Amino acid sequence: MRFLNHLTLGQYVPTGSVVHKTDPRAKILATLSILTGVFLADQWQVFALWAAFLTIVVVMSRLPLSMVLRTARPVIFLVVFTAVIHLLFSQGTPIFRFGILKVTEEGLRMAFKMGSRLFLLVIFAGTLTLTTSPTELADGLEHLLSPLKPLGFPAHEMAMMMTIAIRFIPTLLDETDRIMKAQLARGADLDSGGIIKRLRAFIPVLVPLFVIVFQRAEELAIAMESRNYKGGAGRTRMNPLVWRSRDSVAFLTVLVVTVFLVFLNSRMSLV
Amino acid sequence: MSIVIDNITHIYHRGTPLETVALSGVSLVVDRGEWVSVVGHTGSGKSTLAQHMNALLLPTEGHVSVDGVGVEENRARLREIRRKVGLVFQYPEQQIFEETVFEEIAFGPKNWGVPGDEIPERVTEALSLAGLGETFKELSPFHLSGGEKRRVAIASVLAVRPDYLVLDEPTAGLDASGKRELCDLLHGLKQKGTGIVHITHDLELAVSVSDRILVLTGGKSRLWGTPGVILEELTEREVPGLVMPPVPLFSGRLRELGMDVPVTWNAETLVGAIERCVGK
Amino acid sequence: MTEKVIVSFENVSYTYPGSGKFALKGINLEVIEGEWLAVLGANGSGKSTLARHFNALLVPTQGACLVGGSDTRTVEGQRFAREMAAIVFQNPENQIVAAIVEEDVAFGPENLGVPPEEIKRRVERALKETGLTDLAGKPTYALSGGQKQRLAVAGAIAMQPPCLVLDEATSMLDPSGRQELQQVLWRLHSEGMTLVSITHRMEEILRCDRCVVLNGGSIVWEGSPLVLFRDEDQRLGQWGLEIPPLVAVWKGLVESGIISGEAPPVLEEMVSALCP
Repeated sequence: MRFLNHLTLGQYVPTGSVVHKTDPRAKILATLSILTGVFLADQWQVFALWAAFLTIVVVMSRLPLSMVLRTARPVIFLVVFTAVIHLLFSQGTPIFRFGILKVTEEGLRMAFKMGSRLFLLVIFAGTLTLTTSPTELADGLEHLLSPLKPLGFPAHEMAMMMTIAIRFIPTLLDETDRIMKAQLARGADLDSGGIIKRLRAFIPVLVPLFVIVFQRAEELAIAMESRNYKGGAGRTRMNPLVWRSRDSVAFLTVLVVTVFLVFLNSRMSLV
Repeated sequence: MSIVIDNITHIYHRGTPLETVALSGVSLVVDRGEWVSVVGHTGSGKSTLAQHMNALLLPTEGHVSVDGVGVEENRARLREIRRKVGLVFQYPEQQIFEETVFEEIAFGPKNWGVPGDEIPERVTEALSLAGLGETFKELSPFHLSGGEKRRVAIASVLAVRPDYLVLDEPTAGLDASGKRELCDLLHGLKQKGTGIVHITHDLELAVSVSDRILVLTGGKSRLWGTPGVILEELTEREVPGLVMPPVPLFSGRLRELGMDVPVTWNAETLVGAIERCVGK
Repeated sequence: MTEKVIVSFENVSYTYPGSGKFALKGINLEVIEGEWLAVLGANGSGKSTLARHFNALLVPTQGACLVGGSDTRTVEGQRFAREMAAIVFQNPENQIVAAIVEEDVAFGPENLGVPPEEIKRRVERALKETGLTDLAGKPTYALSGGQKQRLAVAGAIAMQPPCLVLDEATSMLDPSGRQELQQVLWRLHSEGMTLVSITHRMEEILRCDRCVVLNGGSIVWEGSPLVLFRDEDQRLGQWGLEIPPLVAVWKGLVESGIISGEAPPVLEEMVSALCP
């Protein structure tokens, strides 16, 4: 049985929408632009506008909103934690007290700001991976980074490593699960004691896992060689990336939205 | 003294979109000194069932008990259950991590608190049960052949002296002689009173070695009984998802075509019956 | 029709670096275009080492391996061998590169520099041959063992090699997975592809044209599978091989003269021989 599969990075859900069809390079650049914009935002109105923009993108992608929101689940703890820390430990005008804890107006504002920012960052990045297949992502990155090739930057190798990593994450998670259980069945105590004891207790899991990973890597390398893989040179693609005018439109739209919202944010901060 | 699996259901990722019903309404009893095989295809839920036998998984519904100790109401005694029920996972050679065979086999006994001076004896005993000589003790397990590694891994479970031994596809990847040797080993343990649970997709093998068989497909129990009962049932009706071995399939086909032969798994019996039919 | 030899082993020996022991010793073997050759052997008999010589993943320490007439020890010969022979390995998990089924099939042709439109045609055809068309867009991790191994076959035949080598390709599959794969192989063979099945499971070689038995790194027997089953049951045991139950029935019937022994010990043929 496969556990932990829901943790995979490859959470691509094809719907055939315009968002899905957009060139991955445009989507990566657009996402970078959005992330910068969200990172610079600190006004609630601007966050609201970003959220509205996100909603538009999600509607266009024909993915259920709930599915997109779920991509934030692995970091929801982090979001809440950050918000709570800011809520409780910021200096300023107290609104109410609860024993030794006090909530200040500044704290409330900071909590909202940090929480929204983190949440939006994660959801936008999640939207990218939901609408772009891992291969497209890798291809896109390879192309975007290829100008660095003459400087010795291994763009193709990076992309291939990413593809393989995504391919093997579910397999390795299964494997980890199986080995942990096998050692539990042999009486291993994996979850008690202090940090050092716990780390030591994981040796029976880590050693076999390394052995498996190396063995897999070796077999995979042989299989790839057997399938004529000789690196990036001379390789063609089944679906070569084609930059169409609608990709330019998509990217420029996002860029304009970002510039506008960053500008709006800075104007509002001044007030 | 037995493992009792009573009407269990197991659901993975309950309440999420990934919810999967791996087992539903499965029951099974394994006595000490008995060999029970659980036969099913990949994904039939047989590995999930195996992990219930030593409380690595707890049932979503239903009840599991080992020698009268229920897993649900005795959560503090789960380790005791795990000591009693040794579980050998598929490809157990992949769990090996120690520097010497001795240390590898001693890992289990140490974890269960076997006194230090008793451990060498346990290791020697387990090695000999697994058909490996004393000379293996100081070798690195990583340098052994695949078949030897598997024996070391099985020995590491035997060193705990479990009352029951659950093995998930123990013959996977072994050739004919490796398979036979492993079955002999398990048969010997059974005769000494260990309860054997053999999880496999090899119906032909199961019929030849087991006392009782559970046929599992799609997470549901389809047939349960002695090999004889299973044979009879399988000739009466097909079990979807279960591939019939060629000999009974062949004899069944001949019967359908009007030849008076019994539906059998035994090659000699079938040849004899066909000889009589064609009058030789 | 003249027989064309596509792979030829000439007195091939192989020693793994640092082991000092022969994994293969004095192998002489020819593979003829269009045939289905079986290489039988127990674990450790050298079968996987032999498999890796077919497309120059390994090259002989002594002797020569000629694929399509070209020596695999040369750079040219190695390149040629990779295009002539594709291998499907034992563990389906470790030969799938991409996360999506059709993208994985495309991997080989992409490496060969095939133009995109042609890759699409090949992928489509390979998926159809292996019965995976409906799974083209599915993630590879969600496939069953049998489907994964058929995917490996699809990835191999998309490179359009004249010869396909299967190195213990069924050993990690359950019975239905094995059946699925055998059916695909049977179809490929009937369409003219040269197949080399390397296995210890004798039930998989029933339909093969010819088989060789490897033991201790050497070829100890060569001939038709029917003769092997009929005459060599004593030695099969010594080689660590086992006669499958249905073959035992077939053998019994042949010995008592009920069936002729000309047709292979496969169920349909045996039924029609007995109940015409």
